[in-house]
Amino acid sequence: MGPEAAASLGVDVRRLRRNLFIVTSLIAGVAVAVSGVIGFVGLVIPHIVRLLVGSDHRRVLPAGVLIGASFMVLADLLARTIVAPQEMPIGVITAFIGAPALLVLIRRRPYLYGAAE
Amino acid sequence: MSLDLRDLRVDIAGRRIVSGITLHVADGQFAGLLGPNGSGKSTILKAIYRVHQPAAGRVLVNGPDLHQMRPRLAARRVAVVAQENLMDFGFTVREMVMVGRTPHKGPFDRDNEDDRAIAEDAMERTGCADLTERASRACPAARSSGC
Repeated sequence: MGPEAAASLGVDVRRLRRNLFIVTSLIAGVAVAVSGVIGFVGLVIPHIVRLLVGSDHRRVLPAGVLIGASFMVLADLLARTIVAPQEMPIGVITAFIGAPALLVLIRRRPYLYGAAE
Repeated sequence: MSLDLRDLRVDIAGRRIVSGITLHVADGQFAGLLGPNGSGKSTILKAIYRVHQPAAGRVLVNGPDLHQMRPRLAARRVAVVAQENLMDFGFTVREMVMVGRTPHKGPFDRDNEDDRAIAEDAMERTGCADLTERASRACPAARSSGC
């Protein structure tokens, strides 16, 4: 509903923005520091979740967490087994699945991304 | 409940928009703010509901200065129903009304029976109790009349 409505409801918008900025940076930074760069998951999973549960954020967020985490476990399983006993970089798996999935989603609904129908 | 503006001045991005505004609205009084486009009506209102910080002067509600108070406490004294609202969420009218309980609750509190009763009562008194389950973006007229 926008920053003005938030301010009128007693939210300190500037402070909240700053805090969220710091917290999200830390979360993303820690995750990348632990696991390395893993592409295409955050890009594709939310779109797939929206196809499944609609665009209401009260559903998209929890469903995205669950489906994203499940997908990562599967990708990790593949990464550990395909070339066992060696381990593939998991980013290869997610990109291998995610990039085509993203292309399919883009081609399916060109209007969503600003292209002419 | 009374509202006092004392020599209020509001600057936006370094430009003076309004200055020297003094106004008293007494308890129980209805006040309308009239003026040509761009004369600063909305700016004055936004200084009252704390979107803009005044560059000078004070906004007093029932005594204390709103801009000296903590935002949550100030929001318990002043509520606003803006005519234009961004509605990107699929809220029902009831959920929209419940948003008004925000300043009365902690950051992670759930809505309880009291909140629901208060929202119910507000909708009853403004004559929109029959709209509760409708999508709020489906009734723009109800929105500007207080629902």
